[in-house]
Amino acid sequence: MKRLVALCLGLLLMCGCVGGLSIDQYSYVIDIGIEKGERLPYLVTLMVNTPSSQPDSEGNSGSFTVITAEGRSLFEAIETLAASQPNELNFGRTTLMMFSREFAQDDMIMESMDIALGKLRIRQNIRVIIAEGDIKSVFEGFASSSDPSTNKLKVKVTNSVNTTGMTVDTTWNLMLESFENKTQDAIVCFCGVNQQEIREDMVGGNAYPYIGGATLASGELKTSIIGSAVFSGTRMVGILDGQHTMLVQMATGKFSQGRIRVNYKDGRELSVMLFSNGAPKVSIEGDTVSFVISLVADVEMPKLIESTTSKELEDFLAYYIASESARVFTAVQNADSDVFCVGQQMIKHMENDEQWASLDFDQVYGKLNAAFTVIIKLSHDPDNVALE
Amino acid sequence: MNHREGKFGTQEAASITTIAVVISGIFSVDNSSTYKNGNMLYLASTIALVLAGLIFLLLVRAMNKQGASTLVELASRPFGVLISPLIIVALLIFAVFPLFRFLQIMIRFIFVEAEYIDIALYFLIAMVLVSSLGMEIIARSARVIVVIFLLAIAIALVIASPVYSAYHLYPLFSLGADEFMLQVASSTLRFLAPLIALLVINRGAHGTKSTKRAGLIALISGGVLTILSQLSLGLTHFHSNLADMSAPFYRLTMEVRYEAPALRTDKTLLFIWTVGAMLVAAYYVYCASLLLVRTYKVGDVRPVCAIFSCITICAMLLMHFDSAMIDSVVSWLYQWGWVILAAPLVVLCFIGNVKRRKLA
Repeated sequence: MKRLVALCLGLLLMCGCVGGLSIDQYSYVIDIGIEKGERLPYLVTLMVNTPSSQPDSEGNSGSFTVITAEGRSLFEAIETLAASQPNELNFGRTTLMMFSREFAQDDMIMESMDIALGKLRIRQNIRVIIAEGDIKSVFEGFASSSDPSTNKLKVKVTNSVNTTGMTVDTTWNLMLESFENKTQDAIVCFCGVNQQEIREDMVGGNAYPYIGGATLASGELKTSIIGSAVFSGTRMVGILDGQHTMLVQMATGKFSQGRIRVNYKDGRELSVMLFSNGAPKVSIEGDTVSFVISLVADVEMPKLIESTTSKELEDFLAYYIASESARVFTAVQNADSDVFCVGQQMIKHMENDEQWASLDFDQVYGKLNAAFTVIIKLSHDPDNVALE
Repeated sequence: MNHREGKFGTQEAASITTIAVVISGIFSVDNSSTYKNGNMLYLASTIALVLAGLIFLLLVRAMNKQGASTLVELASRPFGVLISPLIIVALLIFAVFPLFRFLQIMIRFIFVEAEYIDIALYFLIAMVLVSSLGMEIIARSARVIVVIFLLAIAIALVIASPVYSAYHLYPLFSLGADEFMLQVASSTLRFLAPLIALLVINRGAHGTKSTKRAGLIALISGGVLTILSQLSLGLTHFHSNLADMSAPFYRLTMEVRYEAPALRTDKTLLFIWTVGAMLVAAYYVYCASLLLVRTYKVGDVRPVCAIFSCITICAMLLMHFDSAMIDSVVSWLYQWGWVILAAPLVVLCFIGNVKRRKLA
C-alpha cells in the first residue's frame, strides 16, 4: 500500500515542467488597442512588456514597446504580431482594452469580438477606454519615465472616478451586458492626445469642457483621460464632457464627490465641491422618470455676496444641477442612449421575461419625460455664513 | 470483511457532509436549463433546504424505529436488492456532475491547451486513492479543510460584491409553477444526496443520534452558503447570461480588478474548491461502494471503489463528447435524474415509518 501511495504521488508530481517557458521568454501584453486599419479592416496595437532579469531603480522590469499589425480579424492581427515577436505573447496581464472613436462610432466593436476573450486568457473585467485619434499615439502619450508600465495611470483613473466624478470606469463585462440587454447603455471612459483645442460635447454650453484630448494642458503625459463616450446599443453616439459625466454619475448612484462650476445669478462663477449624500431614488410613473438626488455642497465663493442666504444658495444649486441634468438627459435621449439606466427601473415593472422581451424599449424610452429633484445641503452652517 | 468504515466523530461527519452539500448545490447545476427562462433557483433552494431537512429527519426516525444501523437495513430483501442499485447510481451521478464542472473550468480557464483525459487522469488517481483508504480518511481530511473550503466560497462572494445589482434578478417570478416545482424537486435531491451518503456510513459515525446532528449542521450551514452563492450569481448576471456560462461561480472570482490586492485569488480559490470536489467525489464513490458490498455481501470494498472511480471518470469524459445521444441523456439526467434517488427514498420512508417488522 505504501508503495502504491508513493507511486501515485510520484506520478502526480511529474506534471508541470514538461514544455514549460520561463518568464523572460514571454512578452506580456499590458494594453490592447483596436481601430480601423488602412489596408485591412482592423489595426491592432499592443503595448507589450518584455521582462528582464534586472529591474531598474524604480523597480520596473524590462522594456515597454508599442507594436501594431493590421488584419482581417482580431485573431489574425494578433497572430501576425505573435509571429513577428521573438517572445511568446501572453495576455494574462492585459488590463486595458481601447477602441478608437471612429471604430466605436462605426459600430465595429461587437463584430471585432469574433473570439472569446477567454481564448486569449484575457479577464472580462478589464478596463475599456474610447480614444480620440490613433491609438499608437495615445499609448505613447500614456508612457512616462516614472510609470512606463502605465500601472499607476490606471490606478489614477480609478481615483479620478472616485474623487472628481469626471470620468467613468467601465469594464468589458459591463459593456457586454449593455450590448446584450436593454437595461442600460454603456458609458465609457474617454481619452485622447492633447491637441490644445477646445471642443464641445453632445450637450454643449460649457465654456471650457473637460474632454480627453481637448484639454489645454501640457505635462508629462501627452494623453488626457477625462469625460466619457456614450453608446446606444453597440454604437457610440456622442461624448460627454467631465461635468456632464458627473451629472450622469449622480443620477445613476455612481457619484462620490466632484467639483462643478456654477454660473451664479449675478454673473459670478462659483466653484462648488459636491459630495454624495445617499443613493439616488429613481422611479417611473406613467411617462415620467423621476430622479431624486441628495448632495452635500461645499461652496468656495468670494466674500461679500450680498443678500444671499444659505437657503437661497441651496435652492439655486438644486435648481442649477436639476436643470443641467435635464439638459444632459434630453441630449442622450435624443441620441437613443440610456446611460441614465432607465431600463434598470423599467425591468422591475415587468411580470415575466416575455413581457420584457416584447417591450419596444427604444420607443417607450424616447417618449419619457425626466424630472430631476436635487436636494442640496450646504456643508457649512446656518444662514449668512455664505456671506463670509 | 474489509469495508474500511473506520470510526469518526460528529465534527468529521458534519465536515464532509457540509462540503458535499455546497459542492452539490453550486456545481451540480445545469446552467443552460436552470437559467433559461429566469432565475428562481435561490428561491427553489430555500424551499428545498426545508424539504431536504424534513425528509432526512423522516429517514432518521425510520431507522430509529426499525432499529436499523444503516439505510439499507430499513428494507429487508428483496427490497434492499432493488433499492440499493438506484441509490448507488444516484450517488455516482452526484459524483460525476461537479467533477465534470471542475474539469470544464480547468480546461477553459487554466490548462487551455490540455485535453480532457489529461486532467481527468489526475482526478482518477486521487479518487481511487482516497476512496480506497476508507471513510475515516475521507472524513478526517474533510475536517482539516472544511473551514478553509467554506472561507474560499465566502471570499468569492465578497470579491464579487461590488458588482451586485438587484436589477439582475428581475423579472423576479418569471418561471412557471411547473418549472419552479421541478427546480424545487431537483434542488431537494441535490441537498439530500450528501445526507443519504451520511446515512449509508451511519455505523462509522457512531449511530443515528450523531448522524442526525451532523446532517442537520451540514444542511443548515452548507445549505445557507449554497443559497447565498446562488443569490450572488443572480445579483451579478442576468439569467440569460448565466444560461450561457459554463462556470458562472468561478467567474465571480474574476470580477476583481487588476489593481486590487485580491487579484490572484481566483486560482487559489479554485485549487481549494477542487480539493473539496475531489474529496466529495471520493465520498460518494466510497458510499456507493459500501452500499454495494453490504447489499451483495462482498468482502472487500477497495476493488469496488476502484471500479466505481473508473466508471465516474469515464462518465465524466463521456459528458464532453460532442454526441447528440449523450447530450440528451445528460440533459435528461440533469432535469429528471433526481427521480432515481426520489423513488427509493419514498419507499424507504414508507417502509421505515409505516411498516412494522422485525429485523432478522
